[in-house]
Amino acid sequence: MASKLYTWLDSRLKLKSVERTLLDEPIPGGASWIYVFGSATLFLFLLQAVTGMFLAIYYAPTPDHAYDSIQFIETQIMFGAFVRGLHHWGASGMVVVIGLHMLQVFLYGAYKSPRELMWMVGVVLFLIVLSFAFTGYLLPWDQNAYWATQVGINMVGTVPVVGDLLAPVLRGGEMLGALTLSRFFAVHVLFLPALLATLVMIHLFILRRVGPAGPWRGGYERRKSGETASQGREPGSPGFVERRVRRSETFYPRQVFMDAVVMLGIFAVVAVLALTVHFPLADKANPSDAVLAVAGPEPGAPSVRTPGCVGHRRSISSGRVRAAGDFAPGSLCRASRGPGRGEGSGGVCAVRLHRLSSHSCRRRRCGA
Amino acid sequence: MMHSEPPPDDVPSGLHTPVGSRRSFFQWMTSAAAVCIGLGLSIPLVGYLVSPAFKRRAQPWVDVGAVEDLPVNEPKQLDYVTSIRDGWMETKAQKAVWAIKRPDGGVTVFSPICTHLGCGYRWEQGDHAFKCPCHGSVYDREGKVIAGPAPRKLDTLPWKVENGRLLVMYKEFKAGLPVSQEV
Repeated sequence: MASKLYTWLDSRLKLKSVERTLLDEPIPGGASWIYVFGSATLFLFLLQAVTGMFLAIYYAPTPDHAYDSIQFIETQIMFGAFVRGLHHWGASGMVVVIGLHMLQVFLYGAYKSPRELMWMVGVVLFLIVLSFAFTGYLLPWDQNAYWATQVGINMVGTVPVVGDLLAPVLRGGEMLGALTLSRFFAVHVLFLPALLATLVMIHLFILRRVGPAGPWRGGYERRKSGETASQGREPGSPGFVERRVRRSETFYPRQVFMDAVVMLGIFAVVAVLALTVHFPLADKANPSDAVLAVAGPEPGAPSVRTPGCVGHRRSISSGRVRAAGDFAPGSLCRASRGPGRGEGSGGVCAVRLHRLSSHSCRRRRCGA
Repeated sequence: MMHSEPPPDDVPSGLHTPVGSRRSFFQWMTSAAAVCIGLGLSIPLVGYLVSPAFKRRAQPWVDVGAVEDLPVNEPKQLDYVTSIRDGWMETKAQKAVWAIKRPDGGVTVFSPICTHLGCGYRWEQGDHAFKCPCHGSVYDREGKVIAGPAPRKLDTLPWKVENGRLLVMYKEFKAGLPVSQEV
């Protein structure tokens, strides 16, 4: 049945030659596990695209409803937390895999002539992925999202000359709000995917024009001098080295097999993370509540140390979130590191931090 | 590199593809990986997509007033405000039911919707009848059809009395059928 359909299509569309072109791409030096990162990135992009489309079914990009709609996905929709978890961990995984991909290309010198264009397009792709990460982070519209975006946009605002123009353009005005959320949503789900898909095609087009770079040349030269010649072969045999370098195999089946195995492994890791490591929402974004800007646990707030909530408290009061205080103009609690900490405005913070963390803990981590 | 066997000497340099059982192993593994990922994704995604369609809305008992306030043998419209969950939104809606207390102390609660085509009806005090303004269906105080196109008597709702308060479970019924059928 399937083969009949294939024959029917092939007789009209001449698929055989397309198949040949796609699968019989020569891989210089043969297939290798080190070449999987490009395919792995592509796989994660597709995973993000699919899970993102499904998340968009229930997501509402307005400050009134964004947070509630994510809560709805998390609690009311079958597999909702899983799909959101896949998207969340897939996003982080994509940045990691891109890092490995770039590292491999860099170490193998695969960016060198004639492949500079592929590298340049790749760098632009990387920046697009980071833009995805930035715009996507705001969409849940919780306190973390709100203040992290506040920080990010204010950082853009510090860029010399153009910063004062760029920040309000990113924000859609003076204030981070409805306009910011809707434009971040549109950029995240419409503009960037279109751009990324186009550039991925260009990236792959260039790859097919210039061909893969092949093995690390340094390794080849060492082998040539006989230092690491394999056991059971005549060391230093000139024919051996020549063949090794000139040997080439097609993309299919071995490289496809390796790519597929790695994709499955990545999917398994992302799925296990999505199932086991819950990514909770913080409280709903509240522009007038700069609670997250507190630096570290406040000494004057003993009730913060709710049993079982320590990890959560640490997560909301450290690192990225603390920075919000440094940037948020007029925030109630700038990160105070002086001796007066825990008093004055810090006291206000302590109280509010307590409210936030115990509230969050009650609802999520401690499950009471 | 996984490739361990040296290429035989008679294989010319250049393109070379593995043949035989190794090749079929790679094919099999590739297909297996694709099937695993496909199932691992499609099953949750289909569940995700269809799950709201199978969600039954919980029908709570709603307090519509004190039983004492109901006149005997005289239908009374009881208004109440209920909250409706619409996805992630919760909205308030005003609803009404018709209740009539019988002399023996029992209560009949009617759905406020005409069984013909879903209009709201009202009680005509002078005629001692429920009348639907849309197509002229008329019901007596027991809910039986006296006149008009209505295919069945008025639908009744489950009720109970707790601490002197009348509680009603609101339901909706399909219009136009000869028998009462819940939506």
